[in-house]
Amino acid sequence: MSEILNETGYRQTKAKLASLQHRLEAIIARQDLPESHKAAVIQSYQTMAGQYRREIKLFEARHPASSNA
Amino acid sequence: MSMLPEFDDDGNLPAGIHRCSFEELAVRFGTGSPEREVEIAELDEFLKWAQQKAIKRILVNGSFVTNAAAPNDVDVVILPAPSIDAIILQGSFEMTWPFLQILVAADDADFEAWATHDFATNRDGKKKGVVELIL
Repeated sequence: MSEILNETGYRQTKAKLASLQHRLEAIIARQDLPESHKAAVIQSYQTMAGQYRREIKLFEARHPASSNA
Repeated sequence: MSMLPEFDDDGNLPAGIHRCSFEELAVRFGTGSPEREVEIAELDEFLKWAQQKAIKRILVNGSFVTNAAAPNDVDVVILPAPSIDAIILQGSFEMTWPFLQILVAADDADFEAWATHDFATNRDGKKKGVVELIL
């Protein structure tokens, strides 16, 4: 179960998600990693992105005004 | 000699990457609740596996490295050596170590990005530290 974020944590998690997605794009573009290593790295990013999204959605469900901010 | 600093007022390690041996990690974080005992046992098994499989660096994060009495799980980031047979990284880690959430880093810079960006704050947005195991 995801723990509830506070307002500061919510903003920080949104920033972390954006940064993670940016880093993921860079990983996907890399040609120097063995395919199976790269696949494991991408899977790790997707796992963490999913966790961030879950926490963000839970916060926004409890604070409907925040998702429009 | 202890290498891990004391907790801050929020029960977290101070910001940064704190290096220590598995033995020190076990003394500091491996007792006090059934959760901690199971988690340190899994980390011990995982460390033995990692040492056989050319894992270069291991980061330990999450409530396990705080003063939480009963942490839910342990976040682990691994950096494989370039020589590793990377196919083993696609195994189902959670089937073997259900209390460990294992993430795979691409290289040293990526490993440190997990430590200093993603895991550098807690859910309240407060700065905190992580542990790197000395292999």
